[in-house]
Amino acid sequence: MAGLIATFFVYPLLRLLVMPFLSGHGAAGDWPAFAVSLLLSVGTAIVAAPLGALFALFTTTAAGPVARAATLTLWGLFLTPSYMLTTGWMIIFSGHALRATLAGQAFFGVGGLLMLYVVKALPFSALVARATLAAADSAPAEAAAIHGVPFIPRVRIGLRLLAPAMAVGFAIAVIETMQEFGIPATLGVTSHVPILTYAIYQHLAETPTDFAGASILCWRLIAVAAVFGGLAMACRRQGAAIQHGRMRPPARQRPARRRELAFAALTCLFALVGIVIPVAALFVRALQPLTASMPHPGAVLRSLGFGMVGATMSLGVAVLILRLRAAGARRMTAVLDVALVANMAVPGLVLAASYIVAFNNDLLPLYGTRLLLLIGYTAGMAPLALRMMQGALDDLDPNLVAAARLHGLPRLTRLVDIEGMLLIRPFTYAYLLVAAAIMFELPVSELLYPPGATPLGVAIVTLDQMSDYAASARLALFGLGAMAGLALLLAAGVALLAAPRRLRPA
Amino acid sequence: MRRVIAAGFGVAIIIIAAVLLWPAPARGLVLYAALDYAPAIGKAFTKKTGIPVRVIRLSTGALLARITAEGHHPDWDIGWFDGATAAVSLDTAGLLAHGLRPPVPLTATGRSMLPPDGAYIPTGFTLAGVFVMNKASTLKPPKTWNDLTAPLYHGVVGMNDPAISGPTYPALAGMLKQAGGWPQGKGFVAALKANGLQVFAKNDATLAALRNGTIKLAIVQSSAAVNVARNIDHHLTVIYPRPAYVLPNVIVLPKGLHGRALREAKAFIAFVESPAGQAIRKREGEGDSYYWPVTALPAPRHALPPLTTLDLATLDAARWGAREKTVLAWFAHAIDGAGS
Repeated sequence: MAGLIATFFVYPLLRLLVMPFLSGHGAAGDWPAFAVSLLLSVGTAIVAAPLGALFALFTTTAAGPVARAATLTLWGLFLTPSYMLTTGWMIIFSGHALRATLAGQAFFGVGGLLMLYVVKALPFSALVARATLAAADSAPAEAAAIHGVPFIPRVRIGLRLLAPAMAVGFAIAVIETMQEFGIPATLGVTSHVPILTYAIYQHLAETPTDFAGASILCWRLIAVAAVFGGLAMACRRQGAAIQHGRMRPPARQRPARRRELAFAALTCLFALVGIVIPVAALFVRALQPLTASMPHPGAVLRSLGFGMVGATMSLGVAVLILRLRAAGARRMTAVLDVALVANMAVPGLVLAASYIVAFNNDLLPLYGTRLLLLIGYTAGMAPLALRMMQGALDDLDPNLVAAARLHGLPRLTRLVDIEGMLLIRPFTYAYLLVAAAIMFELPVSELLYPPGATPLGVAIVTLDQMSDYAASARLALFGLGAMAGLALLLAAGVALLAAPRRLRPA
Repeated sequence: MRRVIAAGFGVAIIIIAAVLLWPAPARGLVLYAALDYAPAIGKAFTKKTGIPVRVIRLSTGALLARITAEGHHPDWDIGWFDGATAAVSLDTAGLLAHGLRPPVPLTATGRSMLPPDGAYIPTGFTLAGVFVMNKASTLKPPKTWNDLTAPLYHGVVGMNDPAISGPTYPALAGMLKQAGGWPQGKGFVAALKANGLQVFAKNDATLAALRNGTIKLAIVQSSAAVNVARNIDHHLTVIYPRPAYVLPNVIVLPKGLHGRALREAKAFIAFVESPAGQAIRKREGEGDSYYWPVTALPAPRHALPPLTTLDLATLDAARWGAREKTVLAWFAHAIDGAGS
């Protein structure tokens, strides 16, 4: 396992990142792209972090239909690929009349980028804030209510308790926005705003390819991720300081009417901007006749296949690492943990660029093959799979294994009928999430896809660049339909697998 | 039952993985092509010679990026795209075979496109940049490139991004050359920008902007212009500027190609240049079929004007190919504003 991680993660990244020092490449320009990206990221985080923390607080403490709708909206925003969101809005502003308006001009400039970034960053901020708040104690809030603390001091106490969650959400929003590639790739040259990830892509797409220049930009991207990642970790530790062994999570209760209405309005706003309007635009444009035969006809099934195989491999790697940790191989799992955490700081674009450099030689001539694309997907998604399975595997009681052995149950029975059934639901959620992430993945696909085997994300963005929105909308909707079909199939499978067995009469 | 379902899932994943990763059938030739008639040519060549041809169609920009990224471990045997300057860039990077000779006699125009080191073979040419307008437009049609800086064209002119659209760099190079070369010609392009020049990704996006009224004059490759005016939107008309810069479509071979693969690749080039091959290109192509041949036969498609009515100019492919990276970086920074 360590050898595989060294080969497919450490070696390629090292190879790419040392290039500027070996080639004597001077400091690349692109400082405007870095500065603008950083400013946009911080600006996005300033909006998304407080909103995300408030959404997190609301969805963890409130009961009722609005809280459920807010949770669903956050997940919908999280799962919607950023380039599909952008495509939907580009379709709306593709008409001359709307494009010439103030809104249209704003969309194709900084305003549009900010709007799209905030919509994509909000669920990240909210979900990490939820994880921080999940360990929050209800005692301070209850004590404030019992002692009749006035409104403003009560809000101040609440904000102090919310601060760690907001800070973590801020850091994550900055990192995710800096690393975001789908939005600038789809808007591309139309936005006229220099963006760091798009600049990296342009260095890799020019002739001759400027790997050293791209590497310098990658260093800047990783540096920002490291700084804000450290901030996130420090904030998490600060939040942990107020946890103790006797704390109780707050009980869910129906919120006050005014508060519920406010969150209903916010939920509707984000649902409209992030899901309903762009998907409706895709749907309407998809109904228009195509100018030629459907391009990239195999992209949907091909990407679905990559998603399924890639998710299996990613979850396999994750489960193996978690098993090794549980078995007490501490040194190796510590090394693996560091590698995987570092992998999260390295965006897919950088990982894919490193693969172009590392696997285009006589020893490992993998560049241009589907195998390398699959490995790239697995390396990029393994950390996500690890985090999704960690809680479920940690909850498995090790005494189950001992009890199974004592009762003489075969290994297969233990794996399938005991551990398998306990893990089937978290495994299915993780599998679907990772499969969807791979199916709609863009940066790794853009750089590593073998000619003639265009992945779905690349096909959609290419058609957007040619303004063939009808074809790109159809592909997008077919893709969403295919993933929904996979989800239904797996849900049916889980229902069958997890159904209780009838006892046979004696 | 549980084990059956679990086993079934495992088998399904293995089958999907096998289908995805199954090695492509061996050999024959692998053709990276940016021209729409390439699949038809590949099929016809296979039928005639029995040599299998796997055609990978990419846009010019993506094709060049792919060839560059593969570097000295090419997965391709033949590259076929628009732009001698792009071929020079690849040659400068040491990626191309040398010593290619045309298999048939070329016209004088065709011979003028041949490189001294034989790094590429011209197979025809289009024009790097022509003007497209609506027939009913009240805008006075421009005749020369300098006309575009006039106030009446403020904010209504659009062109492709040369960093994305491979055939657009020669159009940009032509604009720079007619304005004094490099770096003197920067002033002209900057004047276009000051006059409201809009930049779109590729031919299709620029023409879409023209048709939806975002712009009133599009600068695109002649083949795309003629195709849209003839077959898609009859309200549009093509205007050939003075001068109009020649854009060869070229075939290149990777450095190190030898033995049987080299012989088969040369046979493919000969087929492309033959009357039978060119008839297929004219018949089966869409926009790309609107090209002028570099051989005496056959004649170009009727929609194209006779060359004697055009003010043609050529670019020094070696000189402009060598400065492509510098020019594109300047354009991205000074004109485009996106990325680097």
